[in-house]
Amino acid sequence: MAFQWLGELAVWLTDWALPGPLVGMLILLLTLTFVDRPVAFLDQTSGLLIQNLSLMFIPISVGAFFLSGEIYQQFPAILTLILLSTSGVILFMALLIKRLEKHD
Amino acid sequence: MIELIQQQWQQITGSSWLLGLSFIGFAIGLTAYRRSGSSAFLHPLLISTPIIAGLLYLSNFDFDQYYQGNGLLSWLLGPTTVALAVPLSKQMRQLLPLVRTVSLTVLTGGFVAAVLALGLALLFDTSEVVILSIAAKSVTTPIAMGITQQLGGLLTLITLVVLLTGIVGIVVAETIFKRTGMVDERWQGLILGISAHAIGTARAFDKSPRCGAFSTLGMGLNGIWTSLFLPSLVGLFLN
Repeated sequence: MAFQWLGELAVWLTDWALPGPLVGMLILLLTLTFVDRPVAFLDQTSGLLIQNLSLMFIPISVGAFFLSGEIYQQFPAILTLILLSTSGVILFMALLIKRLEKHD
Repeated sequence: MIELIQQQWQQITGSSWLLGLSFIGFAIGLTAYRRSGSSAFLHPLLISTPIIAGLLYLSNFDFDQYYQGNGLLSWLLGPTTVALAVPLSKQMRQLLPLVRTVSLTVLTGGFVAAVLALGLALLFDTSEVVILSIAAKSVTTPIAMGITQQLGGLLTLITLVVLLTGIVGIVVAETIFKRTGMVDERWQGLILGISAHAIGTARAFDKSPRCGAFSTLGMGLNGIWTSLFLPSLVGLFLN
């Protein structure tokens, strides 16, 4: 746990445009790639955190029920847009990968 | 730096008994999800959030109080993002021969996601603030918030749009994978991560650690890539 804090905090220092946690992940990834041996406690803590990822999205998601009326008026359009564009991009990538694999 | 630590500390210590509400909601959602055999329609978030919102309405709490009371959970997203490096590092060796497919999919997929969203927003004639707030929809919440702030969009709207995109993503992905015969868990994970960010990644980890690792990869790379091209693309669409 303390290790993860270090990774994250060290990144805040660099003051990049990218979010700290993301860069922290990249640093830890590089470290683990070079260290190249299993660290038991890291496996445990990271496994625990990742398994409960959905739980951490609950607070911000509840906010969806407390938005302003003006936004709700445009909601049908927003919802259709999300549905179409998300389906579109997933279909696009599935077909792209199929095609790339055929060429290999 | 010190301000940042103070800010995070306040976020954690601001937590209160309202945390319990999230845990109960999550427990109910998770039980229903498991009972259903992990059906995407019964994702824990879809079940628990209306229950919690309903309870807040009934008990006259406002959202800000609840959100502050749950600072600990929101704060945990940071370390968890860092923790994603652990499963990812185990897939690194397998990844090298796949670099071409992965990079092509991320580069085009991230771009197509943004172009589709912006194009449809123009087509439906939504207000400018909506356009600015939906552009980053396929990107994981912390990055999407950063990008949206930079663009001048609404933070409350982008978090909702990101969430809905994630849920829509995991629901439609199943059908599309079946229709296109996409059975390889690695590619399923990559696609989930690019299109449905952390919700897709949580879903991918339900399938297998390998699927989750590729999803993490897709999410991370797409987040970086999108934050690079999106500001100029949005400028193009608004003119």
